[in-house]
Amino acid sequence: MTTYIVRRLLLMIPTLLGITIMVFAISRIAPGDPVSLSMGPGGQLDAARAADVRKARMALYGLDKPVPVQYAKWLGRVVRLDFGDSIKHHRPVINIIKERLPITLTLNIIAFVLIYAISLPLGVLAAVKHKKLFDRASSVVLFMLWSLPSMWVGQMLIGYFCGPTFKSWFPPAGLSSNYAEQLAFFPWLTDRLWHLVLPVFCLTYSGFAYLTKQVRAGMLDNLRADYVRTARAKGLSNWVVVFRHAFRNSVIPVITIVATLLPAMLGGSVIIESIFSVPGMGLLAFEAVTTRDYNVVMAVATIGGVLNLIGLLLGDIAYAVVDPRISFESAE
Amino acid sequence: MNSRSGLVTFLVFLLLTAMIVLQILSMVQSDRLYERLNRLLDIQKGGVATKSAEEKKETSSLPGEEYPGDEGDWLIWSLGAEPATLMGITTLSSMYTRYIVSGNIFESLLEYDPDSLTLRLLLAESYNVAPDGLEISFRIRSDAHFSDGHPVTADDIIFTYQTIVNPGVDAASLANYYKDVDKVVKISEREVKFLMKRIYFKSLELTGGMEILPEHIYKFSNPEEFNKRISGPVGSGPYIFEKWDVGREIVLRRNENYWGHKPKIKKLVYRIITNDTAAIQSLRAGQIDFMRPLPDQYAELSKNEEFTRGIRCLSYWHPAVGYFWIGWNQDRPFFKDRRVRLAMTYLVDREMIRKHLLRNPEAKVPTGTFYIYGRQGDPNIQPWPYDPQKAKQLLDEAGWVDHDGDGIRDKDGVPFKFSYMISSGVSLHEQIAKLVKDEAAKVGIEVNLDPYEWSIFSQRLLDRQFDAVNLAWGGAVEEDPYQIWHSSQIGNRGSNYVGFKNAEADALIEEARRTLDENKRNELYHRFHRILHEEQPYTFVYTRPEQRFLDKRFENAIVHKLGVNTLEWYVPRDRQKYK
Amino acid sequence: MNQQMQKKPDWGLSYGELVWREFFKSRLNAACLIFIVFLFAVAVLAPFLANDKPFVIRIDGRLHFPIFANLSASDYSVFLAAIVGLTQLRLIRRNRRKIEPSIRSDVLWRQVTISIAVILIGTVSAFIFVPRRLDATDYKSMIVSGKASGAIFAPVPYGYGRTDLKSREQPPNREHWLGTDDVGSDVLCRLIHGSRISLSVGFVAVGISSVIGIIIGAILGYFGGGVDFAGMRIVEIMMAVPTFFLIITIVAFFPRSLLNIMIIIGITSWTEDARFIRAEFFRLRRQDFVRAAVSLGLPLRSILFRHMLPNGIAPVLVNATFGIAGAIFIESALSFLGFGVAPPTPSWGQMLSLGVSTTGRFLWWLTLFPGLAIFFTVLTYNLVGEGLRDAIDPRLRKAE
Repeated sequence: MTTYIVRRLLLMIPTLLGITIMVFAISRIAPGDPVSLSMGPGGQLDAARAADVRKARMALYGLDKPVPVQYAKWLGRVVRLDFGDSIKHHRPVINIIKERLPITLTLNIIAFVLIYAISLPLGVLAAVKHKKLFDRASSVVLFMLWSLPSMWVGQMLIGYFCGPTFKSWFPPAGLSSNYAEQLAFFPWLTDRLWHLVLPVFCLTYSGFAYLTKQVRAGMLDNLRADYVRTARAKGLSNWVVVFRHAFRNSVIPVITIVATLLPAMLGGSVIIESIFSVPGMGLLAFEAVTTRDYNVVMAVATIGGVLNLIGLLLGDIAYAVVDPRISFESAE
Repeated sequence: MNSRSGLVTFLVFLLLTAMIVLQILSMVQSDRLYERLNRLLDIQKGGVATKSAEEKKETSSLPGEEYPGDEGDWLIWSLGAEPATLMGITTLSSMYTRYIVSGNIFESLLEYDPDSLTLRLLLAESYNVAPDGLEISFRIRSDAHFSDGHPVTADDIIFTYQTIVNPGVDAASLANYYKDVDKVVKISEREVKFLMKRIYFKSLELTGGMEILPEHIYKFSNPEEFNKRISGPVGSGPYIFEKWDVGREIVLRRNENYWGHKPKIKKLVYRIITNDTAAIQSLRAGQIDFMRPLPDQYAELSKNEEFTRGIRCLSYWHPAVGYFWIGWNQDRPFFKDRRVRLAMTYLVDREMIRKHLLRNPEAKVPTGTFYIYGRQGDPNIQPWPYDPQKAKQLLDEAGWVDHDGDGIRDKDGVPFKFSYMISSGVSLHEQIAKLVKDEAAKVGIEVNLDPYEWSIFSQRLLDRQFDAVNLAWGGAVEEDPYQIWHSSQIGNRGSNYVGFKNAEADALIEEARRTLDENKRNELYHRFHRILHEEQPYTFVYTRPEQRFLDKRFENAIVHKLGVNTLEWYVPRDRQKYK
Repeated sequence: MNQQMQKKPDWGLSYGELVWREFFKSRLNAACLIFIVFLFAVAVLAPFLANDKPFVIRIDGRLHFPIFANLSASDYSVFLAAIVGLTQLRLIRRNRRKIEPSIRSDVLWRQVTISIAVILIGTVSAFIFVPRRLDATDYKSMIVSGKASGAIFAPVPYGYGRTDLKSREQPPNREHWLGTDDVGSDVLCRLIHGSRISLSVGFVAVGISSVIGIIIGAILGYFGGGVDFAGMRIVEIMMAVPTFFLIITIVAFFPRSLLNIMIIIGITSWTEDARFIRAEFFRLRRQDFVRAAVSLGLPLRSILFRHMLPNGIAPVLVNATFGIAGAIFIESALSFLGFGVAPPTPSWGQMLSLGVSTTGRFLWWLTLFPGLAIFFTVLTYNLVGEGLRDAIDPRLRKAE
């Protein structure tokens, strides 16, 4: 097992290199650069000086060297875990990410836990009551939830539940209220959670359908298998059969989905974060791309890539560990 | 089938998740403790004066009068975007930076009187302009000091000037305005003299309007050190920087050691809310007090009784309101001819835009580049009306006729198809652009809308890679049209984006710069205004008053000619909301 | 002899027919398929359903046909694609009756290739040869003022780019059945033309991603070993990059056009298909018929695409339907964020972004109708995909 993990970790390196090269190339080829941004209209610069200023500024950020050289320098710094400074915020990128990443992670992990907490029992129930009304009705409802565009739902929620138009149950934006700083820990936590309810809801509802389908499909497979029939024939009660036998085996593919769900969520939260003004990684990366803040873009891509790959690795390991039929070779 | 392994894995999984959650919570908790600690340190560093001398506040000699009302409460602003820096002099600063620091943290020698629109004393006790305009001297008040107690001296003024013009300091755009300064000379501990290279009517405003930085805090050996200091600004103003919670808010608190009249509001909080709808919701929920609404929001909510019960709707004219324009790139074959540009102006129904898109009866159609209520523009010039028939006539005259019957006008084999560049994400710009496209289609011109995100938009604008573009300029109390309209500013990333080249206009602009007498200068500007009107390098679309929403508990929010001044506001004790 | 020829030959049911029958056993699936056909009809016939120009009008005694005169290149290519598609369906039915099963799939592949070629060539020629016309004449006012007469207008007599500031942001009323948007364009008209955008994005993007995915998956799955090793690194790279940001960055590089967006979505979503095909080809590689083909010395291209692919294509087809729904989602998200097609091209996502005005005023008709349109389209594609998967699955299991 250790050799396998070590091998996979080593393999991550070329993959990461590939990701960073691709993102670097694209962001440099794309037109627009941060210097033009700061010299744009409103900069009101005298034409005679403008050219000099631009040259000086580009040199300041190291943008005047050829692209491969820039990449090599960046790589050299990253190996020492120095992601450079954000051109827009003039602060080390690491600090910015340290502020934003926990927020996105909190959002996604809570959503994650909720999705699993709801999908697992729902899927099991749907499989047990296969072809009955519950199964069919829940199937349709889940599909409908899956097909709802998140920006639509987000906007409607804000419109209806955050303001005087209809009900004022939730705060319209941000992570904490104005006076939050003055609260003790637990009231502060409650305030924070209150702000998170709607964004988490938007992230969660779409994940249900997919996961419930998987659980249901897995359960159906197992419920029809011979060993279940044997167990039933032996006289075991239905619940014992379902939970102690069928359920554990159908959980296997579900675990591997963990690996793919997390990166999908990190990307999907851009829209939610922008609608609800939550200062997370999604919004950070979005702003960085639009303002050509190269250092931040590369940092987000690298860290995102690392998280994704670790997720994939964990998924594969979990898969292999849980199902003894699978050896590490064929797990790839 | 190993039935235990599935359960074990599941439990392990749950445990891991719980551990992660608890870990995050504890990280956040320790972060908050850290923040509190830092705040205490900040208070020690920048707040209470450690060497405060005995300042006798001679109310009679301080500028202005003491502010009325009860002390206390906070004013919470909503900012549509986070400023990149809190140092007003660097190029990263935006209007958001200025909202926060100008007048609150940093002060200048002179300031504009909000009612008479003339310069009056602030940090300066007196000033003198030599008759030839080449020497400007200032004498600083003896009681003026920074928030840490150090007095404001001539050294600080010289330091500020030298920092601005230092090529390594990221202040190139501001330095641009000081290129007429030859040098700054220290005459005594509290006196300086600016020696100018040539006459420029704005010299007094520029030298007097420089926001003074304390040398003992900002001095540097390497300009990069200075460039990196984007936070923790220290100045002489009535407020002190308290904290910058990145992505969330910036907080200033009152300078208890202020040399002048202290404002009554104890804290200024600037919350960053990028989503316009969320900002309004926050206002209505009482979480913010002061914001700049979108025109649609103002138009609708100012008529809403329930809304106006608690919120005051302010709408006022202000020299800096500027105007919105559509620029026609004169290097392109379509817009070389003045008649075509005039035709395009005839096609833009500015009344419709004013009434239906802006929904603001107070908005006006400008005729030129100057403030519509200022003295620089000629008030007798009327805007061209909406007249598609005239437009067709002019286009025919200019030779653009549909020769091949495909419905699109052409000339010399070139079809009249152009691309109209807009910055994506601003719905008003998009709406105006769609209107222009539709109207142009009716007279046989095909327009393609090219939305670009701001960074690319800027670059294309500076490189003049567009056929038509729309944008807005802000104004000033007294404007110098050199930057935008002089032919030397075409190309090389100058601000004359459309390539306006007119010898007579150039001469007028240059002469006006040298004219110190305001009336004579404005005569020249009237003539320049007429040239702009005839040539239509831009289609001037609209100019509108500033609009603000303010929570009604704030009193004394008087609207001056220069707008509102938060320093004079207060909240009656029984209505105060925050400690 | 003649009598024998006329008797319908009894070849039994083919794989496709089995799936078809299984699919239609559920009424829900049938309903979804009918809805999709309805959507296609709307998309193809859009210029005839909603147009500010009339079909026919008499001006100064002469008859003019403005709609027909102003059909654009994209209209012609859509008509061509529709006709070719319908012909292909009829051919499939004819194949079932006239051609025996053993050569049927070859014939089918040949027909499909020819159809796609015809569509591509036709589209390209349309864009080269059909001239760009601009006609913004206000025919309605001509009728009112009496300059023209005898006009027959389309059912929704508005153009999607026409502005009417006086009627902006109006809720549904008699003139505008579904209301107007922020510059006064009719919502129903934009909804109809928007279906073209959504459906074409779905198809082209999924087409591109499937083709890339199939080719890469086939190569990796067939060769295995070192090729597979290197290839999987590339697949992992694509999977690990946050696709949404990749899309936004690339969108900034190319000028804003529908085609670019379709291509970009296509080239960023092929990894799923590649993995499916790779897994299938791993499995099929060991089967006898493949070994036989190899030992017969058939060319690689033929082995991969004529023999192995038809057997492994099932999961790709299922994934394709989900992919179409996903592509429509991505396109609406892009338009919602302001990165989609250039205005005033109608896009459901863009209309959605206008739904809540900046004052918090809920313009419900701009949220509800485009939202429902996206919702139903995505829902039906997802259900069809699910139905297809269910229909295929038991077959596979029974075959093993």
